[in-house]
Amino acid sequence: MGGTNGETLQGLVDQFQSETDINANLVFQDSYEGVLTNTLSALDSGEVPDVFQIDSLFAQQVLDTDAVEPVENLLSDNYPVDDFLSNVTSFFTIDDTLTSMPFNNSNAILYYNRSAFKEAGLDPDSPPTTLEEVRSYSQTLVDEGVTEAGLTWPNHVWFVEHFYSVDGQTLLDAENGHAGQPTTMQTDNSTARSLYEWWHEMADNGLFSNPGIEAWGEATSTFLTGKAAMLMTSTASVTGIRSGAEENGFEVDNAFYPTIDGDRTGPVIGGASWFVPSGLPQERQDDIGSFLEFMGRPESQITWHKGTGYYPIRQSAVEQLENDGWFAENPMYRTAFDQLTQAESTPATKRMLIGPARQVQTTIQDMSVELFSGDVSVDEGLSELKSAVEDELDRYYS
Amino acid sequence: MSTREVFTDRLQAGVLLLPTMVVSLVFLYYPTVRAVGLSLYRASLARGDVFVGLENYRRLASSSEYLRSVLISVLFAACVVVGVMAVALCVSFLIHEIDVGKGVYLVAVIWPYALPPAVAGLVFLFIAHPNIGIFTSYIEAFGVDVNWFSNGPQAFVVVLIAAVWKQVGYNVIFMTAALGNVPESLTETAELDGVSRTRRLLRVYVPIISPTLVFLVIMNTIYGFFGTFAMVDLMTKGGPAGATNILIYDLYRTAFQFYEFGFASAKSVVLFVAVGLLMYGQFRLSDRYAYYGG
Repeated sequence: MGGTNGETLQGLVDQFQSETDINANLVFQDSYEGVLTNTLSALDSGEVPDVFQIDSLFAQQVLDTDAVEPVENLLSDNYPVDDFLSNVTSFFTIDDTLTSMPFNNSNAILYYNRSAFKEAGLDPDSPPTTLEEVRSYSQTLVDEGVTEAGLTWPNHVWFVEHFYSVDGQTLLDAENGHAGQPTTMQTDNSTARSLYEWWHEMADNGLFSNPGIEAWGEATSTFLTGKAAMLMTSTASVTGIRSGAEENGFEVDNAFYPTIDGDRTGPVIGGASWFVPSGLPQERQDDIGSFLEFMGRPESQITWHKGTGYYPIRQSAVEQLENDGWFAENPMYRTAFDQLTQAESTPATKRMLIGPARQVQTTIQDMSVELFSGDVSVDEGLSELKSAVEDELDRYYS
Repeated sequence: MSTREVFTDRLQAGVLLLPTMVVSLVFLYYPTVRAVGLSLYRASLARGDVFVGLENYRRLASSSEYLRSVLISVLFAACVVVGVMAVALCVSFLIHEIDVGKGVYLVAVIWPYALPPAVAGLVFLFIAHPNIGIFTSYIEAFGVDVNWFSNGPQAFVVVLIAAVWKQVGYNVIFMTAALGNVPESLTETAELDGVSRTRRLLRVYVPIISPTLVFLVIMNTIYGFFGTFAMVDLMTKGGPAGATNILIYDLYRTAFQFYEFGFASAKSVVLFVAVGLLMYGQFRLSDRYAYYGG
């Protein structure tokens, strides 16, 4: 957490300290990967922080250390866990126990440049909803000379996960790892084939601007500088993108994540949750419990949502935002939230939960480059991808 | 008393050597021994270590990805050494030949060397970035499609240029110093004999400064294998599709992103032995060809 999101978090922590007299010290790391590395080494050496925030992608890797305490054991008995959105808690609940406390959660949405749409003669009130529409909108934007490319997004596994879940297809067997240890990646289906054929075509025709692997910042600046008229990224960027668009003098809007062919199941969740190490003295556990309860309460969730764009994860927070007219005034903050609540909850919408997440992530991202740049054919690339993921899974679980 | 024996007191010598010994033991020898040991385990953070014998090495030997990484590293290091030395030799010669503004040119050439590798990597990233790079549109004006985030060979070339750009300054420092030590009489003789400039450089200067060149070949080899890590990490992350996945980056990724410390240790042992052998070969060759006077 850095930038404005980091400041919002620090504000919440300060408030917690002054209300409870419990001393809380926030340590920022450079990235989710950095936190993971430091946390795992800390668990290895026994010098652990009281609470750490881990990207949902790496949840299983932390659980596999057997050194974390399910947060449910730290919350007071009457804490209204039911008030949390079930779409969110279902990911963090394993064997009926809430293992970590969801906090900053998000999904990916499609941002688009209304001004560019108008200039290209496209209706800014009906953004594209399918891959085919994204392609034809992009083609028009490029043909009309409005932008250099149609669409951009960072090459991060999260987007592949989104395409799968929106299409109702699990990425890995064993329900993405929620029903046991997965052994393979599901590439032999229309989801994978349509996605990569489309991606390759977009790249081949210069409609997709490739910002690079895990290049979140570059993707956003490609969009904000007007090189691409559409951007897929996290709802957590909504505050930054809104002000960035204003600075660059264009009107911005957002819409649901595009579907493969029109059928929409729902997005996977993204973002992070708080984990607590096991074996702490009771007194510390009580303090940590109060901290987690504070961060999860509706008031904090509202502050957090307004300051960042991560969606609120408690029903009562949502209701209050509705009553205050916040969503009516700020429709861009509501898109990701609607996308979440309108979704069916199926195994496909539960993000992958696996130990070798970083390996599988890297494999998919690297292989995606070969696929969309056309170094390999779609069939060949997908079968290579499948066996590479199988190797990683096999190595970790054997 | 021989010239070497400055200290008659063994204790005194020992005390003076102690700091170096301690640093070497703690930061070099101990980790080396640990790495060799760890390479026989399946070790990952917080999940316990399992002894697997030579399994990690077997996995390396049968991994086509690793083999590709080896080939890319060797090719990359070779291109770095040749590229850096060719450019540096030309630049040094030009600086040596001109009479006015030597200092200015020297500073300009050495400047990139003064940058920390991470800064150099970032600077170059934003110079050549396919979408938002400063020079990209000018290069594209020549009909080149700057697309090195997707195009492997292009990425290799871009990282190579960055690596060469960064290291030329270091070479120029040594080469200009060496050229400055070439006796003036030799230059005069060559000029009187009507030897052309290029021939003077290649036939007169290069043989005379060969000890310096040998030293630079070795330093550049080390740089090519190890020192270019930051550029790869910041610019391409080993991609696209492994096109710039040099051994040192591959090793880092295995250890600090995948937490496979045993496997990473095996990779580091192999890299250590390979570069060690290469050094040995270079020293042997240089003994034969470099001119050390006499």
